[in-house]
Amino acid sequence: MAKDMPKPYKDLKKPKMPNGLFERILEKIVAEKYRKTARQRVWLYSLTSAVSLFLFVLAFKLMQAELYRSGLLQLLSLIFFDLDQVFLAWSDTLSLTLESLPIFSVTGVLAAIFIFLGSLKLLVRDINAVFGASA
Amino acid sequence: MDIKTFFESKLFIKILIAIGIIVVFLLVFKAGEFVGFSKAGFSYRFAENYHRNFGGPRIGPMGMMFGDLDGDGDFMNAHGISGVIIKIDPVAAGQETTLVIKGRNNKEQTIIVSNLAAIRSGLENLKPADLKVDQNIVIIGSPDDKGQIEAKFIRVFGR
Repeated sequence: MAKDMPKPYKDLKKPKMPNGLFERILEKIVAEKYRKTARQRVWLYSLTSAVSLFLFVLAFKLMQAELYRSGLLQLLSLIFFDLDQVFLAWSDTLSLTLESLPIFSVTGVLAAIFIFLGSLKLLVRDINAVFGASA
Repeated sequence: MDIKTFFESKLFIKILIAIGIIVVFLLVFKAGEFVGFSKAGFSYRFAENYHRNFGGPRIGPMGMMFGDLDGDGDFMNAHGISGVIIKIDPVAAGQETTLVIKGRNNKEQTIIVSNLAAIRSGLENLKPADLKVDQNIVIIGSPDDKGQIEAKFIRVFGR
Protein backbone atom coordinates (compact mmCIF):
# COMPACT_ATOMS: atom_id res chain seq x y z
CA MET A 1 0.00 0.00 0.00
CA ALA A 2 2.88 2.32 0.67
CA LYS A 3 3.61 2.51 -3.04
CA ASP A 4 0.03 3.85 -3.70
CA MET A 5 0.50 6.82 -1.38
CA PRO A 6 1.39 10.23 -2.87
CA LYS A 7 5.05 10.87 -2.99
CA PRO A 8 5.34 13.52 -0.22
CA TYR A 9 3.82 11.13 2.26
CA LYS A 10 5.92 8.15 1.39
CA ASP A 11 8.82 9.29 3.47
CA LEU A 12 6.68 10.63 6.31
CA LYS A 13 7.75 9.09 9.58
CA LYS A 14 4.92 7.83 11.70
CA PRO A 15 4.97 9.33 15.18
CA LYS A 16 5.91 6.92 17.90
CA MET A 17 2.86 6.01 19.95
CA PRO A 18 3.45 6.25 23.70
CA ASN A 19 2.88 3.04 25.60
CA GLY A 20 -0.67 2.57 26.89
CA LEU A 21 -2.19 5.46 24.90
CA PHE A 22 -4.91 3.30 23.41
CA GLU A 23 -5.94 1.97 26.82
CA ARG A 24 -5.96 5.48 28.31
CA ILE A 25 -8.19 6.72 25.49
CA LEU A 26 -10.65 3.88 26.09
CA GLU A 27 -10.63 4.57 29.83
CA LYS A 28 -11.33 8.23 29.22
CA ILE A 29 -14.29 7.37 26.96
CA VAL A 30 -15.73 5.01 29.59
CA ALA A 31 -15.22 7.61 32.33
CA GLU A 32 -16.99 10.29 30.35
CA LYS A 33 -19.92 7.96 29.66
CA TYR A 34 -20.11 7.22 33.38
CA ARG A 35 -20.02 10.92 34.24
CA LYS A 36 -22.86 11.59 31.82
CA THR A 37 -25.11 8.97 33.43
CA ALA A 38 -23.93 10.11 36.86
CA ARG A 39 -25.25 13.63 36.17
CA GLN A 40 -28.67 12.14 35.49
CA ARG A 41 -28.50 10.02 38.63
CA VAL A 42 -27.56 13.06 40.73
CA TRP A 43 -30.91 14.61 39.85
CA LEU A 44 -32.76 11.37 40.57
CA TYR A 45 -31.10 10.76 43.96
CA SER A 46 -31.53 14.42 44.93
CA LEU A 47 -35.25 14.03 44.27
CA THR A 48 -35.56 10.76 46.22
CA SER A 49 -33.56 12.25 49.13
CA ALA A 50 -35.87 15.27 49.28
CA VAL A 51 -39.03 13.17 49.01
CA SER A 52 -37.85 10.68 51.63
CA LEU A 53 -36.93 13.52 53.99
CA PHE A 54 -40.40 14.98 53.58
CA LEU A 55 -41.98 11.56 54.16
CA PHE A 56 -39.79 11.10 57.24
CA VAL A 57 -41.16 14.30 58.77
CA LEU A 58 -44.75 13.18 58.06
CA ALA A 59 -44.14 9.66 59.36
CA PHE A 60 -42.43 10.98 62.49
CA LYS A 61 -45.38 13.24 63.32
CA LEU A 62 -47.73 10.32 62.76
CA MET A 63 -45.58 8.13 65.02
CA GLN A 64 -45.62 10.80 67.74
CA ALA A 65 -49.42 10.97 67.60
CA GLU A 66 -49.71 7.17 67.62
CA LEU A 67 -47.31 6.85 70.58
CA TYR A 68 -49.39 9.36 72.52
CA ARG A 69 -52.64 7.65 71.55
CA SER A 70 -51.43 4.19 72.51
CA GLY A 71 -50.18 5.24 75.96
CA LEU A 72 -46.90 3.46 75.30
CA LEU A 73 -44.75 6.27 76.68
CA GLN A 74 -46.61 6.20 80.00
CA LEU A 75 -46.22 2.43 80.05
CA LEU A 76 -42.48 2.70 79.43
CA SER A 77 -42.21 5.25 82.26
CA LEU A 78 -43.23 2.45 84.62
CA ILE A 79 -39.83 0.86 83.96
CA PHE A 80 -38.28 3.80 85.81
CA PHE A 81 -40.90 4.26 88.53
CA ASP A 82 -42.12 0.73 89.20
CA LEU A 83 -39.50 -1.71 88.00
CA ASP A 84 -40.43 -4.22 90.71
CA GLN A 85 -44.05 -4.36 89.59
CA VAL A 86 -43.00 -4.56 85.95
CA PHE A 87 -40.90 -7.63 86.79
CA LEU A 88 -43.71 -9.21 88.80
CA ALA A 89 -46.15 -8.85 85.91
CA TRP A 90 -43.48 -9.17 83.22
CA SER A 91 -45.59 -11.31 80.90
CA ASP A 92 -48.55 -8.92 80.91
CA THR A 93 -46.22 -5.91 80.64
CA LEU A 94 -44.46 -7.40 77.65
CA SER A 95 -47.78 -8.29 76.01
CA LEU A 96 -49.15 -4.81 76.64
CA THR A 97 -45.97 -3.21 75.23
CA LEU A 98 -46.21 -5.29 72.06
CA GLU A 99 -49.93 -4.59 71.71
CA SER A 100 -49.38 -0.85 72.12
CA LEU A 101 -46.57 -0.55 69.59
CA PRO A 102 -47.59 1.63 66.63
CA ILE A 103 -46.10 -0.81 64.11
CA PHE A 104 -47.06 0.93 60.89
CA SER A 105 -45.85 4.38 61.82
CA VAL A 106 -42.55 3.06 63.22
CA THR A 107 -42.06 1.04 60.04
CA GLY A 108 -42.80 4.17 57.99
CA VAL A 109 -40.21 6.20 59.89
CA LEU A 110 -37.55 3.50 59.54
CA ALA A 111 -38.33 3.01 55.85
CA ALA A 112 -38.05 6.77 55.22
CA ILE A 113 -34.68 6.85 57.05
CA PHE A 114 -33.49 3.85 55.05
CA ILE A 115 -34.44 5.41 51.71
CA PHE A 116 -32.96 8.77 52.68
CA LEU A 117 -29.62 7.33 53.78
CA GLY A 118 -29.41 5.06 50.72
CA SER A 119 -30.20 7.94 48.36
CA LEU A 120 -27.68 10.15 50.15
CA LYS A 121 -24.94 7.54 49.81
CA LEU A 122 -25.56 7.09 46.09
CA LEU A 123 -25.84 10.86 45.63
CA VAL A 124 -22.46 11.49 47.26
CA ARG A 125 -20.88 8.78 45.11
CA ASP A 126 -22.24 10.28 41.91
CA ILE A 127 -21.42 13.85 42.93
CA ASN A 128 -17.83 12.74 43.35
CA ALA A 129 -17.95 11.23 39.87
CA VAL A 130 -19.45 14.37 38.30
CA PHE A 131 -17.44 17.05 40.08
CA GLY A 132 -14.37 15.02 40.96
CA ALA A 133 -11.01 15.46 39.12
CA SER A 134 -11.39 14.33 35.55
CA ALA A 135 -9.04 11.63 34.30
CA MET B 1 -14.31 -29.56 47.43
CA ASP B 2 -13.70 -31.43 50.67
CA ILE B 3 -15.70 -30.92 53.83
CA LYS B 4 -13.14 -28.74 55.57
CA THR B 5 -12.83 -26.40 52.63
CA PHE B 6 -16.61 -26.16 52.38
CA PHE B 7 -16.96 -25.20 56.06
CA GLU B 8 -14.38 -22.47 55.58
CA SER B 9 -15.89 -21.17 52.35
CA LYS B 10 -17.97 -18.02 51.89
CA LEU B 11 -20.84 -20.13 50.58
CA PHE B 12 -21.16 -21.83 53.95
CA ILE B 13 -21.23 -18.49 55.75
CA LYS B 14 -23.90 -17.23 53.37
CA ILE B 15 -25.99 -20.33 54.00
CA LEU B 16 -25.68 -19.80 57.76
CA ILE B 17 -26.68 -16.15 57.45
CA ALA B 18 -29.66 -17.03 55.27
CA ILE B 19 -30.85 -19.64 57.79
CA GLY B 20 -30.41 -17.13 60.62
CA ILE B 21 -32.47 -14.51 58.80
CA ILE B 22 -35.23 -17.04 58.13
CA VAL B 23 -35.27 -18.08 61.81
CA VAL B 24 -35.48 -14.45 62.99
CA PHE B 25 -38.22 -13.75 60.47
CA LEU B 26 -40.25 -16.76 61.62
CA LEU B 27 -39.87 -15.81 65.30
CA VAL B 28 -40.99 -12.25 64.61
CA PHE B 29 -43.90 -13.55 62.53
CA LYS B 30 -44.95 -15.86 65.36
CA ALA B 31 -44.76 -13.02 67.87
CA GLY B 32 -46.98 -10.91 65.63
CA GLU B 33 -49.40 -13.79 65.25
CA PHE B 34 -49.57 -14.22 69.04
CA VAL B 35 -50.17 -10.54 69.74
CA GLY B 36 -52.74 -10.26 66.95
CA PHE B 37 -54.63 -13.31 68.18
CA SER B 38 -54.59 -11.99 71.74
CA LYS B 39 -55.99 -8.61 70.71
CA ALA B 40 -58.56 -10.08 68.34
CA GLY B 41 -59.75 -12.62 70.88
CA PHE B 42 -60.09 -9.99 73.60
CA SER B 43 -61.93 -7.62 71.26
CA TYR B 44 -64.31 -10.43 70.34
CA ARG B 45 -65.01 -11.24 74.00
CA PHE B 46 -65.47 -7.52 74.69
CA ALA B 47 -68.03 -7.27 71.90
CA GLU B 48 -69.84 -10.40 73.03
CA ASN B 49 -70.14 -9.08 76.59
CA TYR B 50 -70.65 -5.40 75.75
CA HIS B 51 -74.25 -5.37 76.94
CA ARG B 52 -73.28 -6.99 80.23
CA ASN B 53 -70.37 -4.65 80.86
CA PHE B 54 -71.95 -1.38 79.83
CA GLY B 55 -75.69 -2.03 79.86
CA GLY B 56 -78.16 -1.38 77.02
CA PRO B 57 -79.77 -3.81 74.59
CA ARG B 58 -77.85 -6.78 73.38
CA ILE B 59 -76.43 -6.24 69.95
CA GLY B 60 -75.83 -9.27 67.78
CA PRO B 61 -72.61 -9.99 65.93
CA MET B 62 -73.84 -8.28 62.76
CA GLY B 63 -74.40 -5.03 64.63
CA MET B 64 -71.12 -5.14 66.49
CA MET B 65 -68.47 -5.71 63.88
CA PHE B 66 -64.91 -5.12 64.97
CA GLY B 67 -64.82 -2.00 62.87
CA ASP B 68 -67.59 -0.50 65.03
CA LEU B 69 -65.68 -0.91 68.26
CA ASP B 70 -63.42 1.97 67.36
CA GLY B 71 -63.11 4.28 64.43
CA ASP B 72 -59.68 3.20 63.25
CA GLY B 73 -60.33 -0.52 63.04
CA ASP B 74 -57.64 -1.49 65.57
CA PHE B 75 -58.31 -4.21 68.09
CA MET B 76 -58.25 -3.47 71.80
CA ASN B 77 -55.26 -4.08 74.01
CA ALA B 78 -55.89 -7.15 76.13
CA HIS B 79 -53.28 -6.65 78.86
CA GLY B 80 -53.86 -3.14 80.08
CA ILE B 81 -54.83 0.39 79.24
CA SER B 82 -53.68 3.96 79.72
CA GLY B 83 -56.42 6.52 80.27
CA VAL B 84 -58.81 8.30 82.58
CA ILE B 85 -61.21 6.79 85.12
CA ILE B 86 -64.73 7.72 84.08
CA LYS B 87 -66.71 5.48 86.42
CA ILE B 88 -66.10 3.60 89.66
CA ASP B 89 -68.59 1.02 90.83
CA PRO B 90 -69.13 1.36 94.54
CA VAL B 91 -66.94 -0.94 96.57
CA ALA B 92 -69.10 -3.52 98.30
CA ALA B 93 -67.61 -5.40 101.21
CA GLY B 94 -65.66 -8.43 100.03
CA GLN B 95 -66.22 -7.60 96.38
CA GLU B 96 -63.92 -6.31 93.72
CA THR B 97 -63.95 -2.71 92.52
CA THR B 98 -64.91 -2.20 88.92
CA LEU B 99 -63.49 0.72 86.98
CA VAL B 100 -64.47 2.00 83.58
CA ILE B 101 -61.48 3.58 81.88
CA LYS B 102 -61.57 5.79 78.82
CA GLY B 103 -58.38 5.25 76.87
CA ARG B 104 -56.44 7.90 74.98
CA ASN B 105 -58.01 6.67 71.75
CA ASN B 106 -61.51 7.03 73.27
CA LYS B 107 -61.90 3.29 73.84
CA GLU B 108 -63.67 2.27 77.03
CA GLN B 109 -62.62 -0.74 78.99
CA THR B 110 -63.83 -2.37 82.17
CA ILE B 111 -61.16 -3.10 84.75
CA ILE B 112 -61.64 -5.40 87.71
CA VAL B 113 -59.52 -4.33 90.69
CA SER B 114 -59.09 -6.92 93.39
CA ASN B 115 -57.65 -6.15 96.82
CA LEU B 116 -54.49 -7.93 95.69
CA ALA B 117 -53.80 -5.44 92.91
CA ALA B 118 -50.94 -3.05 93.63
CA ILE B 119 -51.96 0.60 93.28
CA ARG B 120 -49.41 3.38 93.47
CA SER B 121 -49.52 7.14 93.27
CA GLY B 122 -46.10 8.71 93.53
CA LEU B 123 -44.39 6.77 96.30
CA GLU B 124 -47.65 6.02 98.10
CA ASN B 125 -49.45 2.72 98.05
CA LEU B 126 -53.20 3.15 97.63
CA LYS B 127 -56.28 1.01 98.08
CA PRO B 128 -59.04 0.57 95.49
CA ALA B 129 -61.27 2.86 97.55
CA ASP B 130 -58.72 5.67 97.09
CA LEU B 131 -59.24 5.78 93.34
CA LYS B 132 -61.26 8.73 92.05
CA VAL B 133 -62.99 9.64 88.81
CA ASP B 134 -60.89 11.70 86.34
CA GLN B 135 -57.61 10.27 87.61
CA ASN B 136 -55.06 9.51 84.91
CA ILE B 137 -53.84 5.93 85.28
CA VAL B 138 -51.94 3.11 83.59
CA ILE B 139 -53.09 -0.44 84.25
CA ILE B 140 -51.29 -3.72 83.64
CA GLY B 141 -53.39 -6.86 83.92
CA SER B 142 -54.70 -10.04 82.35
CA PRO B 143 -57.81 -10.48 80.23
CA ASP B 144 -60.66 -12.62 81.49
CA ASP B 145 -63.26 -14.46 79.46
CA LYS B 146 -65.82 -11.65 79.80
CA GLY B 147 -63.89 -9.04 77.85
CA GLN B 148 -62.64 -7.36 81.02
CA ILE B 149 -59.15 -6.88 82.38
CA GLU B 150 -58.17 -8.01 85.86
CA ALA B 151 -55.71 -5.43 87.08
CA LYS B 152 -52.43 -6.54 88.61
CA PHE B 153 -50.83 -3.13 88.88
CA ILE B 154 -52.19 0.41 88.66
CA ARG B 155 -50.04 3.52 88.51
CA VAL B 156 -51.85 6.80 89.18
CA PHE B 157 -50.33 9.87 87.52
CA GLY B 158 -50.82 13.35 88.94
CA ARG B 159 -53.16 14.06 91.84
